[in-house]
Amino acid sequence: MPFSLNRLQTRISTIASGLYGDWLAARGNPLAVPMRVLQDGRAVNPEAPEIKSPRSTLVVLIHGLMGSESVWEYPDQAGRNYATDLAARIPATPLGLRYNTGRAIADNGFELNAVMDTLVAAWPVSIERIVLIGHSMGGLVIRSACHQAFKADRVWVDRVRQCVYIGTPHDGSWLARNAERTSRLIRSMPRDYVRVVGDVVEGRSAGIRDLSRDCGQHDALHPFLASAEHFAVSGSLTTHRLNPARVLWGDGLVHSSSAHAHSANTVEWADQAWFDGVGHMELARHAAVSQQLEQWLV
Amino acid sequence: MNRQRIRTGQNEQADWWLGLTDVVTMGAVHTAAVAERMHIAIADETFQVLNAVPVVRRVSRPVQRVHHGIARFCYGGVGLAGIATNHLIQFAVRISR
Repeated sequence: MPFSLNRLQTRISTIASGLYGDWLAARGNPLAVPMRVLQDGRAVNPEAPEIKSPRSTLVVLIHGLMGSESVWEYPDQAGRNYATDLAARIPATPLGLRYNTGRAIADNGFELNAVMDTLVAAWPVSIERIVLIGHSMGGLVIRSACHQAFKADRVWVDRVRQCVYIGTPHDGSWLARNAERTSRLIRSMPRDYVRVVGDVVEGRSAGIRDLSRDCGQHDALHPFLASAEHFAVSGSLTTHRLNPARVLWGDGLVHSSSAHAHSANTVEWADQAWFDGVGHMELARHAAVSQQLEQWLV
Repeated sequence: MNRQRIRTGQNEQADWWLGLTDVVTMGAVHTAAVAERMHIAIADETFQVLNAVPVVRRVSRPVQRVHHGIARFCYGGVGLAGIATNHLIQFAVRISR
């Protein structure tokens, strides 16, 4: 792939936003990624969407922490992702979302609710079906947005038929939880030169902190939308069930039990899928996952 | 720094570089503060040992004060330089538009 300054800038912005997105946003720093609906990599104005052949079904991809729309692209197939594959079969309009992953999940959910409300109201044809697909943190943003839309009686949420959660840490991420525990431990040390390291870790964004929430907390904060079907997808680092890497790290960032929301009381999965040997990032652009999505959604 | 100070122009590219400058300079300020805290805390370990010895204490205490003073001056200088650079760049961009 040829060097692209724009791509590099987007990458830096998404990483900086993931790490310190709430701080950047509070400073008005342009590195804080604004929430944008995208089609073919171009921003769509939710108030006046100019879309090539708009459909009555929307498939929206929502990336995870420090991600961007490029996380969904198949290797060496720029512009092709789960949404474009599904859109060709359903038919539907494929859309993506880019947002500041360092902000609190509830804040991003609030903004996504407003964006979807505006977009659906201004869409050139009447929308009958919305499919939301979230990778990692994106799944939690979907839950939050749908819950806030439901509470506020927004029309768009009635059109949400299916939500797919790919490697979503419904019960938190082991890495974020360990960061929280390590930070707490280091800050309780008697020596100031050790405590200062804990203070540096403590500076992480609200989005990362949200991923360290204990089991059941997301269930209470963002209950699943009752009127939609929900699907869960998880991966694992190895194919062997008892491999220590799988037991310790799940798909690298999220354990299977968390991806399938074992502690949640507000969900009844329409279906679930496990992909052994597929890591966390690969889950967002894997041929087997794509086939599974087509089985569920087409 | 407030929103207006950074978002001064319509040029997204220039704004992005301005944002990066903001992060780098404020990162330097923060790093200097962390390094100062670490440096002084580590030095205190040694000074505590020296200060426990009555004969050495008469010398080590003033040395500790001088050491900490110089350290705070140096790290503080780096921090101030970072803040000044940050403000200067934001100001230069504002008046150039």
